[in-house]
Amino acid sequence: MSIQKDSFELFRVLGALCEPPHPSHVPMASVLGLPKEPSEADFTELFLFQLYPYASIYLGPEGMLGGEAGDKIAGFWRALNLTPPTESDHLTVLLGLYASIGDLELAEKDEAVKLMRRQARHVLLKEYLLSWVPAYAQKVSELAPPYYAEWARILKGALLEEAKELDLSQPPDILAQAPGLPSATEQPKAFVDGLLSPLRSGMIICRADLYRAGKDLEVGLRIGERRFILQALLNQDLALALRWLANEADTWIKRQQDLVEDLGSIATFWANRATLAKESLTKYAEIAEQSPID
Amino acid sequence: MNKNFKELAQRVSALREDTLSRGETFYPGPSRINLASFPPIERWDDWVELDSRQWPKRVESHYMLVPTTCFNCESACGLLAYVNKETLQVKKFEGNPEHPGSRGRNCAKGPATINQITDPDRILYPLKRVGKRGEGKWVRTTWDEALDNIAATIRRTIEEKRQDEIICHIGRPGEDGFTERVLGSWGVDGHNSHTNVCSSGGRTGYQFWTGIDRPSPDYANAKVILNISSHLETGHYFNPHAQRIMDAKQNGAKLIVLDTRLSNTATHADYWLSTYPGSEAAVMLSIANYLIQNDLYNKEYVQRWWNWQEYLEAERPDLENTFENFEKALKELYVEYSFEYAAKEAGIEASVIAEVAEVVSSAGTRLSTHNWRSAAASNLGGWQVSRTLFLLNALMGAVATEGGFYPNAWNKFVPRPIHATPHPHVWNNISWPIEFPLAQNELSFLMPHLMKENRGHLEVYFNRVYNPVWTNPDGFSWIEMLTDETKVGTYVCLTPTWNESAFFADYVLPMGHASERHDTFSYEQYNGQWLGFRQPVLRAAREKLGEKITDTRQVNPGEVWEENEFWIDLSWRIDPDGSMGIRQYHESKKNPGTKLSIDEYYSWMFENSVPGLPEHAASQGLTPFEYMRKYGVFQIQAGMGQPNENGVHESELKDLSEGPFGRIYSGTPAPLSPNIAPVATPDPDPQGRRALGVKIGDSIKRGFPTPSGRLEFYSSTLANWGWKEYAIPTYIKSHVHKQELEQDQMVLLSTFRLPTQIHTRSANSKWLDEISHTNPVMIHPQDANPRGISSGDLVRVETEIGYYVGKALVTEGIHPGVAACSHHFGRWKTNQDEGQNQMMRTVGLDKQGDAWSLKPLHDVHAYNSSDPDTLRIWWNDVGVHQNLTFPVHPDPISGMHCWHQAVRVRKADPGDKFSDIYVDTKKAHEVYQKWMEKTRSATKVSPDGNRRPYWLQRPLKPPREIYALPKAEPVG
Ligand code: SF4
Repeated sequence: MSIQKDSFELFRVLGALCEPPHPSHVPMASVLGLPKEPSEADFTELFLFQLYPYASIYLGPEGMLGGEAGDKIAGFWRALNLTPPTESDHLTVLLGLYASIGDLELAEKDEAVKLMRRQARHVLLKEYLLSWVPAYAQKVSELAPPYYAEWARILKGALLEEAKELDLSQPPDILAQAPGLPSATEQPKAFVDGLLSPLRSGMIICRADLYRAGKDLEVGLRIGERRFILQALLNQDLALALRWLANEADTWIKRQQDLVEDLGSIATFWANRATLAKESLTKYAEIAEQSPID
Repeated sequence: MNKNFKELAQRVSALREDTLSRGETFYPGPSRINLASFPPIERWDDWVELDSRQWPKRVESHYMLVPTTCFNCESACGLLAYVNKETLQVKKFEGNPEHPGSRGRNCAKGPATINQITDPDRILYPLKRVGKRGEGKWVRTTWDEALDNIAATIRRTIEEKRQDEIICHIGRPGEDGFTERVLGSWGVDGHNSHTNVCSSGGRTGYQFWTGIDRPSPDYANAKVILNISSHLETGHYFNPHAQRIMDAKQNGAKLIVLDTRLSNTATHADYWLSTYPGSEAAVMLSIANYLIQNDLYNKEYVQRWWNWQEYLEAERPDLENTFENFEKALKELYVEYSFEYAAKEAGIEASVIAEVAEVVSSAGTRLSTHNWRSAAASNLGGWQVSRTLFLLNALMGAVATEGGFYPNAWNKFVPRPIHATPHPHVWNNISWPIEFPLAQNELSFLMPHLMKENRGHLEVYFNRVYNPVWTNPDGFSWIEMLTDETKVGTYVCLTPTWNESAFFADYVLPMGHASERHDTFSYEQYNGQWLGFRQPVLRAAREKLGEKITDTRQVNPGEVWEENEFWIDLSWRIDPDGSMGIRQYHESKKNPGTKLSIDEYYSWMFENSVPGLPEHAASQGLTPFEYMRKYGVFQIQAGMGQPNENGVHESELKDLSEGPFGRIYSGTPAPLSPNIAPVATPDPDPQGRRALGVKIGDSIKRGFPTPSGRLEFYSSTLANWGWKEYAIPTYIKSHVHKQELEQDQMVLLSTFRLPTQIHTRSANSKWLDEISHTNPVMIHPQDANPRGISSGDLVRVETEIGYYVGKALVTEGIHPGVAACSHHFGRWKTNQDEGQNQMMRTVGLDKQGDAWSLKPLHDVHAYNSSDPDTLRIWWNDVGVHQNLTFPVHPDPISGMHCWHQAVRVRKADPGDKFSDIYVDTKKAHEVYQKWMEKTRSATKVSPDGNRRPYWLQRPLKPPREIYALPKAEPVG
């Protein structure tokens, strides 16, 4: 069997493993050398509460499910003459699609059609996988219990391998057209919302990060959805919280810089986004320090 | 590839090959869709959930999941009741994933069923009036007392041959055809549906075209969807249709919506046409004209299936009867309906209509259209709205095609029941007055006026899950009728919950909600047929645990019953020894002479009348009845093909005759079909052979159940019964057409619903009430500013017979010149103990001569009850009951009440209070008389000496001889 065929299967298996734990996952995890099986609670905590495995969250300006990015991905399915499934931007589905296009490409005899299939696979890889999964997987590997951390490391590594096939001197279209962070002083609410949108801020901030912020800043933590928690942090000590966020941005700059060699313009894009966020946050923090809230 | 990954990838591939070679599944399939996942059916008998109230302790609760069907709207979506195995109480309702119509999904009203069954204000025991009608004094009585009394009165009435003095008025449909059959078994023509305040208009347009009176678009596969109404958001078959419209949209279909309001549906549309009320048919005809003038229609289909030959013969004898000539004639027929003309009528831009017409022309046979209530239910001549809408399907050939329009009977299955009951041999003049020979359904909403004219008397009046005082127009005239014991002898209200009409009843008998009754039904929701089962879930659960339940009251709260057992029991008491011939239809077949049990009734039906069910059940080791108890639904067929193109069975091709234009009749008896879904019954040939099919080319096809067997572009029925001018689809100017209004009048749009309420049935569903509880009067700034009206101001809305005081909401989301106020709200009760407390305001009713007033006394407020949530009621504004101020407007053809009102809206007077109502019922009767002048009585127009064309549908259909016109008008 060809190496390429094997690698497509690997992606399919990696996709299956971010579905809820199932007995059929056990042999898959074992060949990948993943440690102790996760519990359903581990799965829920990671994928339902912390790091949602949907492309639209990372590629849409709202930082939420669906929206324009969701439409674009569904459109990609349609362009392939396929009916988009219910969750057409879920990581499992995207990896499965990638593997299926790859299988078709390998099986194709007609060179012209083969080329078309390859092009489709490359579009999917560049636009909707490499554009967000490596950073996402990096975050998972830092946050998740060992099983999923290892899974994420393999996923990231395998994708970076795959990236070698591509010319990444130009960023993917979906990133090139993305709007940035709104002005902190003119639209403070939109700015705060924007911080939670990876595409705008260059950062993936999950609930666990905000809990950590509460601890680091020694302020009260109000439990709720991310916007609520973040707003509560900012309300308690605006300048300090902004500084904390600027520091986070700095961490993200470094994470992305580490990826530049493999991902070229994609990592540069994300690093630039984080840099701009860091600058805004720092500036805003300075203003806040000068005019403390009563 | 990096060596590590290469190795990993190879190991994965090898593992997969190895697994597959053992015949095992490698990938478990997508289990990822967490938000849409449902408990798998294998675990329904013991489903474990953690008790949220015990958090952080992990305490498991075990449930039995029992399917039933929502009873809130007619969509009949599947529900799953979570029955706690320890307490045997229902914890919650969720969707039934096995249901092919609703596919596990519900609207907000489905899960809110739990509010209804735990409602602290619900009626739990049979109640009997003491004191005067409407005085609000009740005593608890027994079922035996109530049944014996009512049965004795019915028996006496039947024995005295006064069968037309028994009427049962139906609101929310229960089991398909059940009540009709009960009344048929009594020999009583007493079925009275609510349809004439609901969908008669829409149905009429469809019936004249196809002989079947409901639309069933195959939305999911459509390319273009054209809906006249806010269907996506609140429509008939709301949830099952809405999800399929969204499926189609996701596949790139275009959605066109005609809606005067900026409804949520309008916001989802690709094209929103905010048409002036009543102009919809003009817009449809302009689109049709575009298709015709530009030869963009499906000529092959038109030639094959329209009754164009009949049209030419009747209307254009000057032309030779060829299709080419018909095309020429067609080009002339609608030429005046330019986009500009339609735009002027509708108050929208011609270019938008032109764009929409182009989109429609691109649909091919994948054009799904729908109109049910909305415009068809609101305007004089509204029935031409659905007729002109269907014209587009007929032009495109998008009839019974994938993505097109199906007549509903082809997507519906009504199983033949254990007993075939006869149709009554009497004619009810109150339900079917002679002035309306073509009425689609009973003229139920005219009852108070017909009674005022002494055209009848009711010995026993039932209404079930219906609230005419509140829902119908002109509720004060209803109160006058119901409180007059010389007009209504005994009034029996079958209802699960208090309503404004129940307050005037003699008996209030508690009937079950969705999880407390049996019914079967089937609704046309996609290209397929299914049969649903509603069941008392605690009965099913306890039977599973080994108990024997013989009466649903044993498991329902208090003494709440179900209708099927009620009607069987009542029929037995009417005819205890069987001498009246009634009892035989309610007897066991297994043990003749004993009462038919629910188990036998459904077992017989599922074993004998549902194709495929016995085999399918057997494959799972279940009886058909057990299967339905377990799944709650069975899909009989998916993909119905094109039934009009079906051939006929050889055995029927005997003793044939051919009528005009290829109508074929057969002297063989009709084969007994297990499906008895109602369709029209075209007349036989002069020798009595039944209509079999229609000749298309050289072969005989089933065709449509119309007189011609084809799609009737030209209706000889309308032409022959006095309405020649409307024999083809046309535009009838509404009673609220601009030229009918005075300078200072506006149109009031009152019919629109909200997705979170359902007439008066949903009230006291606290989850729903919290979301929506009031109905502001929407008015455009162009109308509000000159009147000095701002949002929140009290306004008087003056109708022909009185006024109401509402609160203004100034918005651009409504067409200028139109005010809009939603249905559902303004619930009330008089100052008495009984009634609901979450949505019913306490009011004072006053009558001085013919002048009625309703004044608010106390608003709703938080209260103490068995449900702690009633202490959290934060709203007190429950809206205004506007329907009280509407006079009746019967359409002379369809019989539909034309809901739109010409009103004056102005700032309220200083003494006015929100929700004040004033009505003069004398004026109401005068308006009724004015509208009756528009009718053309059968005595004048009948071409064959009958009261009504026999082929038209009628829920109860007396034999032909009963159709003969009476010797004199039944007046006085
Ligand atoms: S649409 Fe809503 S109210 Fe109607 S049957 Fe379905 S769940 Fe019930």
